[in-house]
Amino acid sequence: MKVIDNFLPQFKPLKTLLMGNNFPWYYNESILPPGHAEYKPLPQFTHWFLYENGESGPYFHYMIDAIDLLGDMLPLRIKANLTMTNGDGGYHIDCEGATTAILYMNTCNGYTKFKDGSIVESVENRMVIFDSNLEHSGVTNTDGKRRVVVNFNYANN
Amino acid sequence: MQIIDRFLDPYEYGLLRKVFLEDHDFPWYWRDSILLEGDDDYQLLHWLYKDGAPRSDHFDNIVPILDKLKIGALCKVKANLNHRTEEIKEHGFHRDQDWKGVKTCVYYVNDNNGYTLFEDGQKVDSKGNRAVIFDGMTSHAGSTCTDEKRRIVLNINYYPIER
Repeated sequence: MKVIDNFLPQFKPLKTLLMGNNFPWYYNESILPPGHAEYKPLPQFTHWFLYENGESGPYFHYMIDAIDLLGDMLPLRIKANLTMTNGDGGYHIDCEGATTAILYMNTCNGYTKFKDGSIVESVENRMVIFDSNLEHSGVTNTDGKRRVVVNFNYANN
Repeated sequence: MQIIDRFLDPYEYGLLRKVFLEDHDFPWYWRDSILLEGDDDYQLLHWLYKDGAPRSDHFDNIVPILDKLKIGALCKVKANLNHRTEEIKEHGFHRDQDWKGVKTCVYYVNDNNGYTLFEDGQKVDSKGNRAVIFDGMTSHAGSTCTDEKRRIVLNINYYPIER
């Protein structure tokens, strides 16, 4: 696992977009799908920058800098998550045989926890990169109104 | 104040529920406050009509409501989504408009234990397919809910045909 602070040299445009009033969020009834062993009825809002079918969303171009900095890779899916004081989303893996990276959009007391006990705190412009096979869970914040992250899954070339 | 239950017929209400509650392609926009900048509240909203024109691809979905309201001139329409909270949180009293003759209609999309509170103490519960219509200069306050994941209402300000 690798944690990189101040990941994006130009972080402000992305933060302004995702934390602003004009960015569309889409409601999901739960973070994990019904039937998942860790399913909990905790809703979240998401926004897909890159869908699993390879289709890109209207704001995909905002991801280019992050993709470039992640190195020689093939992005598989990219989405933003917005949660508001829900609790622990539940352990899961995003996909198998790939790499997961999480970019934290705001500083809050929410965090990402891993089954080995390690925790990565939500610090603005921090990126954590880890093997997609590592089970992890997002824990929402209690010290503010929302926690926003961007989740990347990609194959290394 | 007028409270009308079963405001839309079941078919129309079903279509509306699908758009606001079931479809995954309905966009919501974050607001970091509800009444005053810097307040403790937040909500997600979606403008359907503002500044004299529809502002949403989903405007057509609310036309059945507008038809029933006998609207002379529409001022604004927005959908509000309030996330479940551990305890019901009342937002502050406010008036939607300060223009004489304007009516406010709050249309409740889903059942939940949130409500609209009026300064005289009256409380209108959030019941799906209920509309409450009142003078736009009447102070009122919305709330969150604790028994559902979200509370969704439509807020419509308009001049009625008969003024």
